[in-house]
Amino acid sequence: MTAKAQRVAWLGPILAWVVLLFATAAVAWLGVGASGGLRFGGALALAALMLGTLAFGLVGVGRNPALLRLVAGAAFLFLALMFFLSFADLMTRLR
Amino acid sequence: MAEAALASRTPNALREPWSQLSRQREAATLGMWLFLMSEMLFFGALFMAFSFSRALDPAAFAEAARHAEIAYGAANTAVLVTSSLTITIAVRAADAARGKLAARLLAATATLGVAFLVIKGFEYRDDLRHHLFPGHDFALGRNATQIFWAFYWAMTGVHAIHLTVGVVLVLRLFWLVRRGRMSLASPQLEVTSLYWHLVDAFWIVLFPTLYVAARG
Repeated sequence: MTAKAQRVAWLGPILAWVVLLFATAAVAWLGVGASGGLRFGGALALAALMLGTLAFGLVGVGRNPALLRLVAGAAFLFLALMFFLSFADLMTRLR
Repeated sequence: MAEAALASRTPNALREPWSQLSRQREAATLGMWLFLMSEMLFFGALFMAFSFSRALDPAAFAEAARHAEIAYGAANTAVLVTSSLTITIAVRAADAARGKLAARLLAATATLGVAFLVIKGFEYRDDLRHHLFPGHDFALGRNATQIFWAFYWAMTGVHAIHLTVGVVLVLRLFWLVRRGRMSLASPQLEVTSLYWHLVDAFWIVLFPTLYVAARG
C-alpha cells in the first residue's frame, strides 16, 4: 500500500472520530444546558448518530461481506422486536 | 494474486482447516459477529429493562439521574472513541505490514482503556462518597431512585468488566506483534478490534441514556 493510499484509508476513521468527539460534546451540553423533550430526544438521536458513525466509520460494516451484514442486521431486528413487545406489554398494563 | 502475496509475506498466519487466508479471516470475523450478536442481546435486555422501569416512574429516574456526573461520562466517552480510532488504525497498519506502528497503536489502545477504568474508578469513589449505592445507606429518598442507581451500577459494572477483558486481549496482541510472534495477517487483530468496538458501542449508548436522557 502506498503512502497516499494509506492516508486515504486512515482519513475516514479520523473523520469519524472527529464527528464522535463533537457528538460527545453535544450530548454533554444537552445534559447541562437543555431540558425536557430536547434533552431526551436529542440525547437518544445523538446516541443513534454516534452508533452509526462508529459502525460505518470505524468498524467498517459497509465493507463487510453480505453474510456479516445480515448477522448484524438480525441482531438489531431482535433488539427492535424485544423493545416493541416489551413496550406493547407496558402500554397494555397502563390502560 | 493479493492472496498469494499475503500468504508469502505471512507464512504462519494460516491455520487448519483453512486453505486460504481470506476464507480463514471471513470465518473468524463471522464467528466474532455471532458472539457480538449474543452480547448485543444481553446488553439490549439491560437497556430494555432500564427503559421499562423509567417509563413506570420517569420523575424518580430524572431525580436520580441528576446525581450522575456528566463530566466523568463525557471524558470517558472521549477516551473510548479515541481508543476505537487507535485500534482501527492499528488494524489498517497491520494490513499495510507496518508492524511497529500497529504495536504502538495497540499499546495506545490499551493505555486508553486503562485510562477509562481509572476515570471510572474516580467516578465510583465519588458516587460511594455521596451514598449513591442502593441499600440501607442510600442518599435519595424514593425507592424508584434506587432502581435507577441499581441499573447504573449493573450496567457500568458489566461494561467495565467487558473493557477489562478487552484491555487484556489488546495487551496480548501488542506483546505478540511486538515480539514478532504473530503474523500481521492473522484475523486475531480484526476480531479483537470488533470486540473493542462493541464495548465502545455499549458505552456510546450508555452515556446518553443513563447520564443525559434519563434526566428527562
